Amino acid sequence: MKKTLLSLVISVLVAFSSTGVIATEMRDAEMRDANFDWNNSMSPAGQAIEAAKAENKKAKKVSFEWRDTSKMIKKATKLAKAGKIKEAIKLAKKAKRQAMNAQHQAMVAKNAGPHLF
Amino acid sequence: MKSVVKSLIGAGLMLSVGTSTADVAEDISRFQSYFLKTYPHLSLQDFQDGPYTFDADKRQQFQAVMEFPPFEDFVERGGKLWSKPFKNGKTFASCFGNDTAKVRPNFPRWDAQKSKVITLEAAIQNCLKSNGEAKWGWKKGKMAYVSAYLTTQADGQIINVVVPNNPKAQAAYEEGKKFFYAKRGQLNMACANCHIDNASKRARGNVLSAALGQTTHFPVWRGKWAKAKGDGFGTLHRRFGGCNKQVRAKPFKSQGREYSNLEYFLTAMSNGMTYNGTAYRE
Repeated sequence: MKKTLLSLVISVLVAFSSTGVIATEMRDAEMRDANFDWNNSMSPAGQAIEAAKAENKKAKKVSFEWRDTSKMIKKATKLAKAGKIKEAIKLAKKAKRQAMNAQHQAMVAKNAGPHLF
Repeated sequence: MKSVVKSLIGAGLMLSVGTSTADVAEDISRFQSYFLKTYPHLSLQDFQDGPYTFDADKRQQFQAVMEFPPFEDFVERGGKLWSKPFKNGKTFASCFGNDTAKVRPNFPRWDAQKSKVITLEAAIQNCLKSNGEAKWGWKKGKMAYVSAYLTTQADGQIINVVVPNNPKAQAAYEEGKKFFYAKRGQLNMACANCHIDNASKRARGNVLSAALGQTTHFPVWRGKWAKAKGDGFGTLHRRFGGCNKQVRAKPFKSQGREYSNLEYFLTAMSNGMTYNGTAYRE
């Protein structure tokens, strides 16, 4: 009886600890914003990182990748693994914005030419 | 009037010796005229000295350094590498001919067989490969020493890049031109923003060089590259990569299509100028 009670207490503590499944779900629930894909089983951090990677791939394809974007994505991945979800999502979104800006630069560059002469 | 005449010489040389199109000649004329009109006290050849053309103090420092250049030993090393036989007994002369003064002025050029721009460094690498030698790094070390030796040997030779009337060569030139004028990186800056719009102005402690004449003196010995473990020497593509990183754009590979085409365009813009040997830069 005592052992069963002890096991139950430990299970509840684990579930509600920072590494428990329920705690993770509660934390992730706060991170789901308008861009969250409910059909995708990936976590909010995972989705943000994958979105950044996808945009950076497009920036790279048009030869306008920025210097720091892939480093930011790697750092976001490390932060997510370390459980720093808010920071990971923030950094991944920043990386995604950089990649989208880079793609816009590529479009503008199609008309690049001298302007002073 | 004088400035217009001088810039026409650059374009005219190209039309008389090579077979570049009128569009390229027009680009060169406008490019050179802009600088000659903006800095009327400077002649075409004055732009060889980059930022030291514009700032008297820096020019004095530059002249002092050039009396006993810190790179003389490396240029000498380049000369020895040039003459040193490969394992098969041949030397670089078997690829380029014996007249070392005429090697550098042949590049960059359009290679019709390979359908791409070939730079001097690429030709050196091809020569090593065809003689069974190990590859050299692109940006520094032996490649820079030999390239610097050949630039020094070409001191006084006239730059005359030809863009033939061939759609692929024209496309390579246009790609290089577009690269030069396209804003890139987080700082959203084009090569032109520093080296045309803001030439002679300061970026922190450095004076920005004019794009005109930038290719007359590479490889360069840079104080910045000599810190820590570096020997200070670097090729043009090494500098391109550094510039791209500085505006927070991801740099391209040295001797890849992007930088080779950029070199093609940039060197053509200096047609009519002379090589002035490898030089010191900050």
